[in-house]
Amino acid sequence: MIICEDRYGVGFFEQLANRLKNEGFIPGYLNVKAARFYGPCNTKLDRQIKALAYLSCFNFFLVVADADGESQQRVKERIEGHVPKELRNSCNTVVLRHEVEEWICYDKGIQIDDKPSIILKEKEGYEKYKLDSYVAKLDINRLRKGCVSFCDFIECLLKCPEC
Amino acid sequence: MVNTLKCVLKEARINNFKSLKDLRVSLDRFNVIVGRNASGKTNFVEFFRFLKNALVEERRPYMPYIEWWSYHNIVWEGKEQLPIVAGLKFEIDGYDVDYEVVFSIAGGIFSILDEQLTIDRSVFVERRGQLLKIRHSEEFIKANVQKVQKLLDLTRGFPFGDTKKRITKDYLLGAQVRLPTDFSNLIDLPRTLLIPMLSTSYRDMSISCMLDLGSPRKVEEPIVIILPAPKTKKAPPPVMTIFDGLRSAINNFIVLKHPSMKEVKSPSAPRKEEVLSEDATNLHNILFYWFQKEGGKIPERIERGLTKLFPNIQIRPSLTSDGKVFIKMYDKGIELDPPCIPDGLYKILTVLAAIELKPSLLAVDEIENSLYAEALEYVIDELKNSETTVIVTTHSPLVVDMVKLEDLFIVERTAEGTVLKKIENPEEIREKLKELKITQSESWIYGGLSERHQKS
Repeated sequence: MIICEDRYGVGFFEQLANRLKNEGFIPGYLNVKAARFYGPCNTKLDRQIKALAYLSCFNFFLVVADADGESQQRVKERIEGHVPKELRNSCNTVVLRHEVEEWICYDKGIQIDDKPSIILKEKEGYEKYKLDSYVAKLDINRLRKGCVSFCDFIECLLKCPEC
Repeated sequence: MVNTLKCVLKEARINNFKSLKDLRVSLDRFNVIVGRNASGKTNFVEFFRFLKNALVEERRPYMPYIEWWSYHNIVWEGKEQLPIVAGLKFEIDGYDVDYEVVFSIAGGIFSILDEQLTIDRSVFVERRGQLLKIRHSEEFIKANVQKVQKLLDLTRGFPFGDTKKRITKDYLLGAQVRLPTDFSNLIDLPRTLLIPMLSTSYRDMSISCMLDLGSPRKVEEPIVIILPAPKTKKAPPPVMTIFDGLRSAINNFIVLKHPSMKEVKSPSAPRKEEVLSEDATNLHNILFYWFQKEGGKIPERIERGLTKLFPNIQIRPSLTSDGKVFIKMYDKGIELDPPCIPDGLYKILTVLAAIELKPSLLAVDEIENSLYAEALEYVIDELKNSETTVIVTTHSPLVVDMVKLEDLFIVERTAEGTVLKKIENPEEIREKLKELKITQSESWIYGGLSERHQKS
């Protein structure tokens, strides 16, 4: 289960996981779903993970959070503080320097000197609701070669055990 | 009407409107107002509706309170002798613009008693009845003596230059102009000053002058306003641009209540509609207008939003055999008429259409009505990313959990009227909630977001 920061991310990560599976970057047995969480310091996250683990039977969690310019380590600590102790081994966290649109900027070779979604808006009229339409356009190999957070993301997905 | 200037509402001040006796609210881009029934949440939202009625909408007779039946119903404790005072602070194209207006029903006739407009604390314009006062701050004039003189010299070629009424620095520090009688029909200062003015600029300042051009609206004294460039730009616009921006900003307020399902599902005659009504009764006409304008498409934001939330459903504006507009739904390709369309779909359509209209303020009362959790998450995300000032009211614990503590206003009704309070120390509260394993909504419902954590 990928847990991300907004509803736009839900469609994006589900489609991305499917593409990664289809193209052999992650194992085909992974059944990846996504859900939204309400921010890195929200107590709702504990309950969400418990409900997903014990009621929906997901066995692996990947929280993808935005640092939005804050310290990535601090955001990671905040999130991990909300993961139930007994599920910490099944939960991984990837903190993006700004937000997931930085992968799109990286892929397009755009230098990031502002919030990536704002850069994309200025360059090509990007709106958040268009996020999932970028999945098909991403050059996965290019991202895997040099985009640290994307590599972390794939690496975490590869840790997911077979059911 | 879509405003081309960048207008951001920063603050609202309200006196004597319904339960809002004395309220000053600094607004962020995304504001969530939570509180019990009858605490005054809806009154806060309706204040913007009233202001739009009073300042922009052309209604004759002039009774902007009529949807609340009487002035008695909109004034604090029904005390008709009290004026209603409204103040709005905007950032318009880099300028801090403050507008204050006083309404009264003295003598049994509803009217605007007084209006004041301040631009960047440099230019002050006040209208009381037919008397218009214009003042430039002394600091501003002193700091720019040479440029001001140059601007005044430039106006010599203007028609009033032929008269003996030469503009001096004293005039700029405090002038009074009696507006002609026919101006008394005009109801607001931004409109009063949206009159033919000549403008010119020198370096980082502009000067705008309303002249006696022999029009029926003859003004005895010239009206002259000097405007410095905003902090963010080098060149200043003519002052009329700011007045126009203010007027457009108020005109572009959208206040939404829950859609009137009976009305919104009833076909109606096609009309070109660009302003979404409070209860969405003209939603189908707005969609129909877009559909025609965009060659058979509805805006991408709406199309994509619906696809995500209702993967098998499409909607299209359509016409009945007698030419009335309605919304048709296709569920896995099967045609269905309005009575079969879920209320939640109309609600989502309404909010997404409102965002697409790019209002200067979008206020949505009881956002949660008719929406399931994922749809509510999507709509909240769209509102947060809409680049407009958004106010939502809610009773929903789910919404309280979805947003940041910093976004919340807790509404309470006191003997002195409705108060809106922000959470004073969100970081500390988050730590406490984490320690206790309590959610934001639980702390709101059971008292954790208590008074000691709030600031007015």
